[in-house]
Amino acid sequence: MTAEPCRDRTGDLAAEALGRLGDVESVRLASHIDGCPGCRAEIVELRAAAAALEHADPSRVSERAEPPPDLAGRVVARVGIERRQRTRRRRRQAAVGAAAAAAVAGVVIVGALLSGDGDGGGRRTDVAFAVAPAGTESSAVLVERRWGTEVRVEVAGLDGGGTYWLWLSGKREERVAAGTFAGVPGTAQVVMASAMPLDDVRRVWVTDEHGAVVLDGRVPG
Amino acid sequence: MGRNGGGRLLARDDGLRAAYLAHGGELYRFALRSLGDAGLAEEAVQETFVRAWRAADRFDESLGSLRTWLFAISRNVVIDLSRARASRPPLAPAVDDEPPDGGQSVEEAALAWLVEEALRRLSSEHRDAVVEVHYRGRTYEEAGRALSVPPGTVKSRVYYGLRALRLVLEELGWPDDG
Repeated sequence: MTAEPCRDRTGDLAAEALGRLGDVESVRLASHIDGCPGCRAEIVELRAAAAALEHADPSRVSERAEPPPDLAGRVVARVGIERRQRTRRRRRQAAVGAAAAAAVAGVVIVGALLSGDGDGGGRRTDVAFAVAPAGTESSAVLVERRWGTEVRVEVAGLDGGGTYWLWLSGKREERVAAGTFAGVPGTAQVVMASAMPLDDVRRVWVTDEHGAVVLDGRVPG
Repeated sequence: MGRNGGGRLLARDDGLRAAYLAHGGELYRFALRSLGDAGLAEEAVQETFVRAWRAADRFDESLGSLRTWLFAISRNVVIDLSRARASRPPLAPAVDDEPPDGGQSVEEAALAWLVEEALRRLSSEHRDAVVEVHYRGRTYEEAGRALSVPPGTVKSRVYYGLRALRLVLEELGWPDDG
């Protein structure tokens, strides 16, 4: 509990804080303060208040400027503008976010189509080409689709610049064209499609523009 | 209001008006005293509420009152406006604006405003006694004659005036080292 100042000293304590106590009274009060925790604590507070007075201009104390009456309305209006701007900004951010989400979804859909997820069973069959020109490297993967078979061919070394035809042959040796691709330098990754069901595919082969068989691979039945 | 009550208050127009009614006048006088320009003071008040609204999510009433928070923001606004004004040439001399004290910094003006506002909040009896004795340099006898009360009463009023001033300054957020 804070000690209270002596009631009969409070006037002198204030006068001392303001520097208005005579020398004799000041010395007398100082000796009292030394032995009185209540008065010692009080003089600290009073001196702080007296020091604060030095910052003020007393001629301004009687002034009490009031803000113009319409300032409240202007404050509300300004914040209203800020609020609308924030709402617009958030809508834009939400739209950008939705577009980004849609773009990601698109990638997922394309990815699903290509990877076989979500569009048919997605069973895969690897095909090794028994016939291939010297200096080329090639492989193919057949992917089961609801609409038929996706054929992924990866081939390196067919860089003559000509056009190649990809064919699938079925159980009865019937052949179905799965598309054409151009020979390019480096490795070409070609994705083609055929309506032939995966289970019917027995052969995957590639001919050049003259009809000569370039790649030929058998699919185990 | 609890945690972030002031933040929720500022989110709505009626809450914003309530906050302005409670603190707008004080904020205006603080800005006017610091900037010495009525137009800038109005701008300072608007900007203070805009910044408070923007940061309303971060207001935590358990750490201090809405008033203290608004004044902290207002102090920054006043400093920003003061710097902005200092960095551009004056357009035309203001005629009816209250000039700031010559060479007084925003921080000094802020302290002056705090003490002046605190003095305004004292009872007239306490304030008059402090003004007579401290600012006018009158003795207790002279002050007693001016105020038509005995010298002992002046002495007592000066004491209670200083005590009240200390309390009001604390309420107003007087810095301990002020």
